[in-house]
Amino acid sequence: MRTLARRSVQTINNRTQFVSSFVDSDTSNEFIVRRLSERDSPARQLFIVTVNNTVIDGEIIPFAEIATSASNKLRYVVKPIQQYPQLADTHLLDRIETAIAIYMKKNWNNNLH
Amino acid sequence: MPPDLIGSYTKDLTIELEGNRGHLDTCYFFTIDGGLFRVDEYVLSGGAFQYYLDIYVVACTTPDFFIEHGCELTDQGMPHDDVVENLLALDMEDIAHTKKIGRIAYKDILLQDSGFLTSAKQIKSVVIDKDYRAAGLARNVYKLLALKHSYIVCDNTQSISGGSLWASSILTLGEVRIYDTRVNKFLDVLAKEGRGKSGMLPWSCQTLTIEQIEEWGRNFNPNSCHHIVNVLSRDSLY
Repeated sequence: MRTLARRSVQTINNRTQFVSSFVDSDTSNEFIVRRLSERDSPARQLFIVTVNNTVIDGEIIPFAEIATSASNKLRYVVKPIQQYPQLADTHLLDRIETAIAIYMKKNWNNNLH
Repeated sequence: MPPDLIGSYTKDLTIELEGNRGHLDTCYFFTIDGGLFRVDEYVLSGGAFQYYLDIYVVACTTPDFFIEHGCELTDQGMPHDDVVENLLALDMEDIAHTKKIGRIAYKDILLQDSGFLTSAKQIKSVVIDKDYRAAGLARNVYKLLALKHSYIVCDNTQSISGGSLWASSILTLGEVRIYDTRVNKFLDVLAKEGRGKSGMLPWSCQTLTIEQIEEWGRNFNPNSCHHIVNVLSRDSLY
């Protein structure tokens, strides 16, 4: 059986920085995009996306974790289709990736593709 | 914490450890966040630690290729060790850009387990480059150490991040048992949120500020736990 990726609530609360959030009008779920705040290099950023901040046994099951790379591409380290298959929709991923691209452009003048 | 928690450590990866070192082993592992890593293990004499290992992220002559290809192979269901073997067989390391991103130091310690005296390795110092933290790197190295040395033991004093590593991440590797170094006995099995399955609280926060205790965010023992350690063994890996 596949194991879901998890993050402790302490990691989310203490080691990440808010980037963006939006509510999906179809499902009323709130998606929150955060960045691991310790990471310095634009090529080593990790964005953690959560849904509705639901905490179970001190843990949060992230919707996705998305990393930047030296070649300015985004890579899904934790995939929505494995975490929340019922919510893994292209238009949601587009909104999340757009939020990350805006953040990277604003803070590192980095153009993702 | 487990033991007893302290606010923070100051560690510098650029400072070489003192003592005469002898190379013991080199191994590799792959993570989907960081790519291909090399671990060089040394024995140290005349220094503050008995052993240490350096962790390097292995650069590729085609940037990002190791991580992209390794992820493709992982997605295809290839076992971890085969992924590593495939990447190494490409012979594409860019030695000039391979970079040291971590160091873990440890020492010998004896434990009593099921009536037998057994040798274990106790972690004494961990430093990971900021760009590689919170992504399972230490967890992967701890698993390597447990496979290689049979038992790994946390330090008697830990930073909040070190305690958190054991309280959350290491728990996913295998059964973590709580050991009392005064009576030389396993007392409980670690569960989530800083508590043993039978209710034991293995972490204390005697020198932490209120803010640091909030940062810890888990259960803690009002009495000192300096003599308490957490233990991961090869036989208890999932």
